[in-house]
Amino acid sequence: MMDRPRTYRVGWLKVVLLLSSVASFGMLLLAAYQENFTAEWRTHQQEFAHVLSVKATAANETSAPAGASVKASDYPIEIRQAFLPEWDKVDRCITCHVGIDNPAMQDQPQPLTAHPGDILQHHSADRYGCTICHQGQGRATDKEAAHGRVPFWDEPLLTGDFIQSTCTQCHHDEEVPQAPVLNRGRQLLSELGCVGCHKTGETLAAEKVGPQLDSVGSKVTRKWLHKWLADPGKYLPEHKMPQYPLPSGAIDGLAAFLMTARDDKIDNAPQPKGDYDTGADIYRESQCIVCHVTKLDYADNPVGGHIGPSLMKIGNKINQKWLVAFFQNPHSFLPHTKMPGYHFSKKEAINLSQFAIEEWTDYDLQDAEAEEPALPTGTPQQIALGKRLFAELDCAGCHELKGSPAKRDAPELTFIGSTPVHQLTFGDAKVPRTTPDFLYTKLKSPRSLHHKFELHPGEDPVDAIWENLRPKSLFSASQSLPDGAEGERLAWLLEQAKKAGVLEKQLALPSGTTAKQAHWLVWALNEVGALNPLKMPDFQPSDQDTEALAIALMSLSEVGAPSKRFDAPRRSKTVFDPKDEFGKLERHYRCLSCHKIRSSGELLASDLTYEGNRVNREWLYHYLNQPYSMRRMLTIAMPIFHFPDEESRLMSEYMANVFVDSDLGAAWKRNRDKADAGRGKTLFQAKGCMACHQVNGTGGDVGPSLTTQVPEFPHGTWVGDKLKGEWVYAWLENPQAILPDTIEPNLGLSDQEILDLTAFVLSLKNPQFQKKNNGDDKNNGDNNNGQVKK
Amino acid sequence: MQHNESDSQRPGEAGQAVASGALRELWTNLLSTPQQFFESAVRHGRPTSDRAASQAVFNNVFLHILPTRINRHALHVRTTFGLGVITLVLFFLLVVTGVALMVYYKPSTAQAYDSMKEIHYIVPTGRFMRNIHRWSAHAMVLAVILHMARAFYTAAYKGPRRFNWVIGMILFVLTLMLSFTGYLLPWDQLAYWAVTIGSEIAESPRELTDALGVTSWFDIGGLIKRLMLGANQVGEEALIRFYVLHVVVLPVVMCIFLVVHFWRIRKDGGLAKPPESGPPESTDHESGQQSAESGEPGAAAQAAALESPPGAVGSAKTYGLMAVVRGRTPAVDRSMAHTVPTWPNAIYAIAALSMMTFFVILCLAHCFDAPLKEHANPAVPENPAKAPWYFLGLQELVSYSAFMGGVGIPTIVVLGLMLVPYLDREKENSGVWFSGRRGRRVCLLTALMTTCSVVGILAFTINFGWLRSWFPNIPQLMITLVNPGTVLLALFMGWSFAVTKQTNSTRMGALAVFTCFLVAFAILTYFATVYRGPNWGFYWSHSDWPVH
Repeated sequence: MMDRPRTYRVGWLKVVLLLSSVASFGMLLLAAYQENFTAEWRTHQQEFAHVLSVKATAANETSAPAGASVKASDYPIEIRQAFLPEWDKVDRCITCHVGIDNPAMQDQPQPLTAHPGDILQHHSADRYGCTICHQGQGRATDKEAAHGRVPFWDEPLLTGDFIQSTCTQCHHDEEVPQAPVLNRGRQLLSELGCVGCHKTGETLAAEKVGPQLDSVGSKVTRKWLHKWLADPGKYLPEHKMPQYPLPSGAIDGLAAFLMTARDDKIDNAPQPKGDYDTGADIYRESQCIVCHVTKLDYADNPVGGHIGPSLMKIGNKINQKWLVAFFQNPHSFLPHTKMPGYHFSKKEAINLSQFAIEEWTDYDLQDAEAEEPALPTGTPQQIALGKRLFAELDCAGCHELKGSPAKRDAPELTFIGSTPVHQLTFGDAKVPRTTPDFLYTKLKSPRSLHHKFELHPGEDPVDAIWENLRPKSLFSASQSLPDGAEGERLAWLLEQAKKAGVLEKQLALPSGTTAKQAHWLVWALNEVGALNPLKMPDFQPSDQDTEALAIALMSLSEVGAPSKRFDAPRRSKTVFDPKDEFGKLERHYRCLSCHKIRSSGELLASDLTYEGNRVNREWLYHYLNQPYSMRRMLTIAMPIFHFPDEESRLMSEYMANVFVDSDLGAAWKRNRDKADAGRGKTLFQAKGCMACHQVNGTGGDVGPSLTTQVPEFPHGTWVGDKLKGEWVYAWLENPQAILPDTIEPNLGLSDQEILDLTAFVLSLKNPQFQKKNNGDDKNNGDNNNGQVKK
Repeated sequence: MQHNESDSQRPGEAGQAVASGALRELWTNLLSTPQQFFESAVRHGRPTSDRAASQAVFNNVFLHILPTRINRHALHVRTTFGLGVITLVLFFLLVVTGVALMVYYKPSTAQAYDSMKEIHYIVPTGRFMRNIHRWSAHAMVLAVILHMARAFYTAAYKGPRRFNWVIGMILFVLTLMLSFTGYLLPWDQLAYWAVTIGSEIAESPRELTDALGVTSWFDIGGLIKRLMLGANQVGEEALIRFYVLHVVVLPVVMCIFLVVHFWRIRKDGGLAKPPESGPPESTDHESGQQSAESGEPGAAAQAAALESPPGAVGSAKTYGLMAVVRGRTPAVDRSMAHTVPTWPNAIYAIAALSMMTFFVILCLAHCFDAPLKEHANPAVPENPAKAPWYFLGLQELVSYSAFMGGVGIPTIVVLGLMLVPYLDREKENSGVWFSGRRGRRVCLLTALMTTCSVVGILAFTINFGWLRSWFPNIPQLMITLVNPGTVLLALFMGWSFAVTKQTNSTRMGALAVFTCFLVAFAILTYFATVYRGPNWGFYWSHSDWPVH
């Protein structure tokens, strides 16, 4: 028997075995080490534990009794998570953001810091977790993955104000609390007319935001219309209507078509001739400046309101005959306008129109325009083209025009926020592939998110170009593609493009092969955007508005709370729209354009919700007839409407009886006998009320004067003449409860102090009218005294 | 162990003394238990002689799959490159990590993806386990293919190993099926759409039955698909089916065939070896050096009676049971001169190779995370939806004809390869790479021809299209029969016949056909991986893909 004959050498195998074993063991150790020691979140939690113990020690030294200080080692280092089975979510964000619900961590940097604001108090982390609002990847435990900024995770962490877009999962009200940018964006979606073309579900009401066009042909000049369609910014820098990228042929057509929308009555009326100065008086009485820009200040900044359009150049635009008709009955021309109906007689209307035309004409522009050749009247072809374009571009989404209904066939936006990113068309744009980036870029420059049209091998270039030429209306009615050699057909295409005003007249096909010519034509048409199928105009919103809009669009999502239990309580919204006589008057005078009544209307002027509690009805009656400014510094007041007497009576009666809350300031009615005006006067001085309010000429100008003098006003105008005790009492008790945004401070007065102060305020009556109204004083607290005394 | 005689001599004495003696004995027994346990388990210490080493291998349930002595040729690196061992180690790794992953994985469409995230993010070392599993799976497919190529090129499919080659082909198919069924389990977009593609391929016989107009009563494609998915599309049923296949059915079947595979290696005479490593296998000369010590004389005599001329050296054959088997199996090494003891030589080689494989996989698992895309979404197709890499070559062929690419050609190739040992029966020497210089030249030429023809036909198809673009109304049957895939197949067949005729050798023909398939597989896989983009269009690079 041989003893190990020619044994194969195994020495090196042993070395390899040893080395690879050691190396493998090392790898396993490394994995175990990384798993147990180096994870990012462990470091954060250790840091947090340290901060906790430091803070506890500090607290012990200063105040706490001899208690044991918190040891850093007592704090367990472990995965922490919010488990939300109903939402199918596990949020481990709190594994790193450990101090999120600990107010003491407010001073720490990320990720240990506490959640800002009081959001967590209303949205407990146990119930809502983190990713429902913030998005990101809740299950992940390392930073990049958890923040969702990794491939294959479609919902990266929302940054900045974009976080407001997730509120709407539970908050179904039109106004979402603490989400100003979202609310602004939604308002913009309506205001800019986005909802005119895009369907957006039930959240936003579709409203036509542009003027009605039924008589536009009688209203404006052809030249103006042409220029406006080509570039609205040239006429009005702050124009609302976006610019459509249209070739000149299309603009000719549209203008020709719109000029056919005429009103014979206006056309046939004689040319008005009025008096400028009388018109100017009417202009001032009517307070046009509240809503319209009517002049420029020394630095050429527009002065006036932005509720209506600027009036600066209407003389260059508007037909005076139309203006006269409009002043007499604005609502028949613009049914949805905020402009009140004034009681202008025909003469007054003529005078006012005279003033308007003379005052607001840019004479340089007028002279320049006079030298331009007159535009020829539209041919029937142009008019037909205009009608097709009007439909193609869905102008009816914003403008009402008889016989042209809105199509609203733009892509539906109801669930745009939850559309998977890979279904969004980013085109060739170099932007990150996320929904917020898509929306922002699309709104900022709609045409950048598109593939450039290219010729593909194997397809007929002429057919392909012809199919893709936009706007379609410009080309569809022209003769169909001719047969023939490719060179001829290309030349024919170029001719059509020139005819439509898409390409410059002097252009010609380059010499060379037809392939080269086709590519040149594509290039030329791409340059002018005639091969881009997008119909959306460029709104050129500011960065802020773009973000607000993008956020509002992000909020239009299919993703919602898994059950109704999570829904935020809906705040009941009572729309003020009475069908009675007062309602008729409101609709005529459009009170809600300036006043707020309950949750309807605007806060440009006073809130009328508690007007019956607030003011003495006789004062109100007189005020409607002769409004005056409440503040010395303010020249703007309510327009003088020249209400017929029965209307102002009805309105003051109605407000005194209906705009009343019997609980408001009820304590005053119960305890008015305990009030002492003398103590109130002392308090008035002690509390520093004079800093803002004037009494008899002394005091600040921040709040309204308490002793306003209005010459020739047939009623006392001092605060005691005007206001009722119950309202004053309620106001002093908590001004923000009545008017949330008021700067009147809540002084935290005791009941007795409020009583005394109220008594003092009410005692401020104009001595001239004191005697006359003596009898009324006692009735101030009641709501049911008889007729208004004249 | 030590028996205290004095205790036993005085049984009448107080029981205390007896007890104390027994207690002492118990104590000493306890002390020696570890050594006793070890001896009872291993039955021998560290072997110090060849005989002991042989005994060790022979007596150990795990080691006895190896012969006690092994041919030196088998231990050369270039004989096998250790591919079989690597494959086995990977399979072992897959089983171990797979069981670990099973603990956390939830096979339901609602929870599968989330459970992957849990494994990734919070299961202790879960991510590591999954990475090991994933990379081992890919590595195993690769190793199996290379192992097959090695076996083919060294002519190891010949002679007694013919059936083991067939078993090997079955294991190859099983490996692909295991990998494919595991592909769906993460329930992400990649999984979902790869398996959707797979199920469409399974349905592709419908292309043929449609063309023949017999689908209404013989819908084999639809049947396969429904069997596979349990529904009309990939969903809950498919997931649970794939899960059961992946964790129970296929591994068990795989184990059974693996055992047969290993068993047959031994019984077929170990690894294929060239003649210079031992006498030709056709002689019955046997070396029975070690068998004389450990064998069963009766059976050995029987064997000797059947197989060997009486009185031959070492006629006492050890494999008693085998002695009743007809023919020359089991063939064992005849010449002691070319063998070395398995312990330590082969054992250390295997151990070292296993550890190295393990280490490489650990490194991969440490550096690269297994992919996990978005949650599966039936509404959003991946574009391009690509099958796992090893099926991409087929997917390329599927783009020409679903039936031929997905079912026809793979079936022909697998069956063809299984048949090769039965068609090529030349008694040529196994264990020589490419069977020598002539074979090397044939392989090289064939590789060149295949590269040219595959690249050529791909370039042609991309530039000029195929029948459908020239004759839009051509019947589908025509395209099923004549498409780039079948053209290549026909070309390879023709080439192989030509080679067979030219060299007058079936072995050369077999080398040619296998090289054709292997090179075409590699090129098509590479091509489909790198140059195919959205809508299976051709793109020079990923950056040319139309941005979406």
